[in-house]
Amino acid sequence: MPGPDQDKINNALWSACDTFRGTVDPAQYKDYILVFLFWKYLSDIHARHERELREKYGDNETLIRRKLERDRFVLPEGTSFYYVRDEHRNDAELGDKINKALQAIEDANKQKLEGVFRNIDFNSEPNLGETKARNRRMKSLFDDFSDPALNFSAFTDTSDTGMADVIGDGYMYLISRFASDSGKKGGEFYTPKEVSKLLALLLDPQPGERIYDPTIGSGSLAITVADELRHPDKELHPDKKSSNDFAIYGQENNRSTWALAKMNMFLHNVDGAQIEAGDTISDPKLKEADQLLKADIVVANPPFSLKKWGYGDVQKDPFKRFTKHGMPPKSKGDFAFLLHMIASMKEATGRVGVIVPHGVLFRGGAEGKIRRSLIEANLLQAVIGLPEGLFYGTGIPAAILIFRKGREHGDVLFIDASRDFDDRGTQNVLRRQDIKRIVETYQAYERDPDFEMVEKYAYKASRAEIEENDCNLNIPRYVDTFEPEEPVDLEAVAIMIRELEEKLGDTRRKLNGYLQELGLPT
Amino acid sequence: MSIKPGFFFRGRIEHDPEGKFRILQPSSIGSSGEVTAEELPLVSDISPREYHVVDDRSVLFVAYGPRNRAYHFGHLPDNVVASSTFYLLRPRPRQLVLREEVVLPGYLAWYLNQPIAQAYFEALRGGVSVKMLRRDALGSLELPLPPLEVQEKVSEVARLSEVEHQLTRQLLKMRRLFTDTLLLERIHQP
Repeated sequence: MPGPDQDKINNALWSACDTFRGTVDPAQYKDYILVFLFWKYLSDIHARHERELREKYGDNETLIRRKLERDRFVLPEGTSFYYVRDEHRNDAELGDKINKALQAIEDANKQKLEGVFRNIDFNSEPNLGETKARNRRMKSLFDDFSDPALNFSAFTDTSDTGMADVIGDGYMYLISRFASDSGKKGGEFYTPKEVSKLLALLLDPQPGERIYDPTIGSGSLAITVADELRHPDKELHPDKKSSNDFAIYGQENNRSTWALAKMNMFLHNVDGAQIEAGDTISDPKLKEADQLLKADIVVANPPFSLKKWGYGDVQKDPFKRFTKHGMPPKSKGDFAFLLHMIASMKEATGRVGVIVPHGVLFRGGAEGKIRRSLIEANLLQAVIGLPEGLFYGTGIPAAILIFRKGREHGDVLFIDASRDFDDRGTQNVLRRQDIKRIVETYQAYERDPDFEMVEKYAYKASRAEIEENDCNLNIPRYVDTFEPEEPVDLEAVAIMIRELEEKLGDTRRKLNGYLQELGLPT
Repeated sequence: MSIKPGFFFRGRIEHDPEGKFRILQPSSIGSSGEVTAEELPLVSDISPREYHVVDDRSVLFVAYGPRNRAYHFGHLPDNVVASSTFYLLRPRPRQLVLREEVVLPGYLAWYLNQPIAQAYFEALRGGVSVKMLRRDALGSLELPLPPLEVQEKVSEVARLSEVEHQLTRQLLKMRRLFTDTLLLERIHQP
């Protein structure tokens, strides 16, 4: 672990939230905290580079300036966290000063950070209170982020990657904590990191591939998939070589979440990521020659059963996403996102990994027809049922669907992983062994043509079987998990009954004794 | 009688196996009022006051939430600290009291759980999102004080009645299992 350990950073970050807690809604203040973290990181990395250059070139100011301008990013004079803290700390217009510094940073780094600070206002009375209270909060934020645990320039691993990992993980930690603390409100549909990891392992990114998340949120799912390429899981993919050759694409409808995604990419050193703002269904932004962008890996955790998904906007869809397999129902958006993903799959190598509510597996009507069409097109590779209570803000169990192009057989793998999880605490969590079991079963199915089933866990169904089930993909139809109950020992039960009756008789006798002593009828 | 709030925690309660105190929260109490001391989380780095520690004279009263249940535990180890969701009620240790004015904790807990006392609290409860009962509202309840031996018997009867309740439930469950099994055996006979 490079430099200060992750736990310390995470704790310092979480306690910085105390400044807001109770008075400001988490959905509001999370953006302020995350922007501060981002700003502090930029300031620290900049300060360290400047220090290093000074050690190397002494007082050759021109050379140092020139070198700094060629950095990953530019921090214009007077915009650093430290400068604003030390020069404007006691200004009445502190919030305005912060806004200006951030705006200047954004302007100086247009290509990577354009629009990132547009939606955040440190001078906002509705969000942060009246001037006095607002300035007090800002000052306290400066103090919190001056905590030595958050001095990122003191890292011993001074490589940008090592540092970016730690900050980036701290950032993801905060996002996940906001998600778990306030349900959907603070962390809109945040994908728990274990589920992201599972998807990354199943989709197995290869060097040179494009990774695309059409509902990218804060970007953690896409980053986790890319990380599987940068730091492959040696246990589950022993032959995989680490590579930095990938491209991330994404689109996000919520403007401030979109800004978080941009910052998250920057923090994780994914400079080339292309993240667009807007609604993926009614206004897909990622295109090539007027067609939808095609990616090798299309991965997403779309909103579950979104009611207003844009049915009216896509009746004449120029991208023909709903022509081949059918139009999703007006009131449930699950298949709209799914079909967008399918349409974004590259020929030959394309695969889709998507998290869906179970209804997608069995609902009838228009959705049943789409399901049948997808199965007839031989795109469905696997259906994996996850435990309930894994996601923040909803207890319902979800499933992972894997689709791929260029399949050579018509079989579909079903895994019932719903009983493997750690249930300590309020949120259920996939453990390493649970992820491993799913991935190993999936790999056995992919590599071994003779794979048939794993007792009470997984089953390879043929096309004929699925059609016999009317293309209903409900997992219990394929994976039999019925456990016969232990036979009841009648004699033991009879003995227990007798013992209970005796105890009950004793208790009643004592009780009546006291009642009598109190002169009461029994 | 003294009424004190429980110990207030800042932030989350994190279990520390090396911790000195065990924390009692309403969520650790079973539906029939039972607590397993070994299952209570241990915490370190706290310095509760003496009155935060639960002893066999304390009555714990749930101050927050829809129902103000009262509990008396006679069997807890001496490092259990009540969380601030509770009020701790105790006869004053050094108060000179006439014998008739002594309150037994078992009796007190029983009376506080009676519909007549609960209805009184219900009327005085405040709070917007989470209901809570103020300390002075709890203190304003008029408590009938029968002689000590009557209180003793009342609290014993209350305890035994709870035992009776639990035993009856278990018994009914076992009897259903017994008859269902018998019936299944019968229909599987040729």
